[in-house]
Amino acid sequence: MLRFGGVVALDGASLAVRPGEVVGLIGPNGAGKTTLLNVMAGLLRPQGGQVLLDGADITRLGPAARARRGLVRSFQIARELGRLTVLENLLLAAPAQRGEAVWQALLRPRLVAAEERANAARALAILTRIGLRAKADDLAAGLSGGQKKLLELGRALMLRPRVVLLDEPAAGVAPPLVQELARLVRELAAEGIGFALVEHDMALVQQVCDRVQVLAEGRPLAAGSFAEVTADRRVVDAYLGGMAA
Amino acid sequence: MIAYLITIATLVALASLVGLGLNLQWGLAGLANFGIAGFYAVGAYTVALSPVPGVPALGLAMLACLGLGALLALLTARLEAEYLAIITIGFAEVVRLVSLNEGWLTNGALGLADVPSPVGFLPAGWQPLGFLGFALGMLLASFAVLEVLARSPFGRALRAVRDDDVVAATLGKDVGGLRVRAFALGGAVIGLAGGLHAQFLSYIDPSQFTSIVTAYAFMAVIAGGRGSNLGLILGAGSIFLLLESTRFLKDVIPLLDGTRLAALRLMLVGAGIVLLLILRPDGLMAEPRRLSRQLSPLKEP
Repeated sequence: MLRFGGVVALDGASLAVRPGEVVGLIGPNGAGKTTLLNVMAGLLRPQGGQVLLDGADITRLGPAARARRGLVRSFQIARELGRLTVLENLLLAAPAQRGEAVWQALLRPRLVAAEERANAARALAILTRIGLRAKADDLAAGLSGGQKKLLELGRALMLRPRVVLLDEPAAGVAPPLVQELARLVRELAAEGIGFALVEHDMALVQQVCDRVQVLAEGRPLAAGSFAEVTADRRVVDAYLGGMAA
Repeated sequence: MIAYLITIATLVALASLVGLGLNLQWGLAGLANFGIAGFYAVGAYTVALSPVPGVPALGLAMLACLGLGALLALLTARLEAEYLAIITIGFAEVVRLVSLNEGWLTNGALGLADVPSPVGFLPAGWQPLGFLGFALGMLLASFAVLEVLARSPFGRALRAVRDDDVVAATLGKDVGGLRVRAFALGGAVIGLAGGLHAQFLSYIDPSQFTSIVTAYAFMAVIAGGRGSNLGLILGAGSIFLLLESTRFLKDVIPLLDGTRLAALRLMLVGAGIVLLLILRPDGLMAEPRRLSRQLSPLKEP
C-alpha cells in the first residue's frame, strides 16, 4: 500500500519471485509498476505491506542494506556513472570491499591491492560475458543506450545478487542488444538468479518471462503465463484505457 | 627578493593544503564546503590557544576540525548534499562571530600574538626557509595520504556518491557514512593549513579569515580539475602566480595606482580562470582512473 497525498499508487499489489524465475510485470502507463519496483528496492517506503527476502522481513531496510543482501535494481533510464570507466562502474559494485574503509585503504595497501585484483578479474569476466570487455577503460558516459543497460546488469551481477529488478531493460535499446539482454537474462536465471522485469516490449516479455503479472491502477489485475494474461479480456480493457468497461 | 619568494612559496603551500581538503570534500565527494574560512580559523585558533606548541598543536587543530566536519556532515546525513553546503555557510559565520566577540577566548579583534614557530630553534635568518620546508613536508605528507585515498576503493565510492547517490545506494554503498568520512577528513586537512597559518604569521586576528580564503580554495580546485590532487596543487600555484605577478604591473604600466591595481589584479585572476575553463573545461588535470592493465591478476604489486 502506498499513497502519494490523495493518490493511491499501490493497493494490494504483490509480486513474488522465486530463484531462477523470470517474472514479468506489465500494465498500462501509471499502473504503478516502477513504484512497486521502488518499494521492493527500498527507494520508497510503503504505508502498509511487507517486503520479504528469503523469508526475512526487509521492509524497514534502506536500499543499500537490501543491495548487500542481494536485491538489486536497474533503472528505466540507465543511470551509469558516466565519469567512471566501465570497469570502475563494476568494481564499485563489488560487495564488502575493505578498501572502502579509510584505515584499511591507508594501512593495508597490499591487502586492498589483492582485493582489487580479485574483483577486477571477476569484473572483467562479467564484462566479457555482457560483451563490453573492449570498453573496459572507456568512460561509461560514452556507451550507447543499450550498452548502458548491459552495464547496469553487469554492475548488478558484481553484487552476486539473488533477485534483480529490471525496469524497462529494452526501452531505448537497439534490437540486436535487446536479443543479447534476453539471452543473458535467461542464462542468468538458469544459474539461479530471480528476475522481475517491468517491460512494455511484449515480444521480450513473451520471450523471457516464466510468469506475467498485470497491474492496473495500483491493483493486481491478472496473473499467469503470457498467453493466459494476454487472452484475458480485463487486461485488454485496461490497456485500452478502460473504454470497454 | 629571496625572502619574498620564500613567503610566496609558503603561502602557496598553505593554499594547496586548503585546496587538498576541499578537493576531497567537493572534488571527490561532491560536498560543497562554503565554510572553509571557518575551518581554517578553527585550525589557526586551536594552534594559537594550544597548551603545547609545534606538531602536537597541529594535531589538535586537525582533531578539532575533524570533529566539527563530522558533526556538520552528521547533522545533514539524511538530507540532500545541498543542505550541508547551506550549513557550512552558517558555520563559518558562527566561527567569525565567536572569534570576534568571545574576547576571553580569542581576544576579539585584537587577535592572538606570539604563536610559537615549529622551527623556532633555527637561527633567525634561517627560520623562513625552515618553515617553508616544514610546510612543504606537511603538504607532501597530506598529498600522499589523500592521493592513496583518492585512488582507493574509498575514493571510487566517493566519486560514485558524488555523481549519483541513488545509484551508489542501490549498489550497497553507505552514502551517509561515506559523506561524513570525506567531509571530516577534508576538514582536518583545512584545519592543518589553518594551524600552519598561525605558526607562520605568529599573530592571528579575525580579519585574516574572510570568505576570500574559501573563494581561493574553490578557484584552485576548479582550475586544477575536480578530483585531481596534483592538478589542485598546479591550480593553487597558478592562481598565486597570477595574483603575485600582477603586483608588478604598476612597474610596467605607469598609469596604475594602488587601488586600480588591486581591482585589476582580481579581474585578471577571474579572466585567467575563465580562459582556462574555455581552453580546458575540466581543469588542468583529470581525476585518476583505474585502468584494466593496472589490475592484471598476473602482475605482482
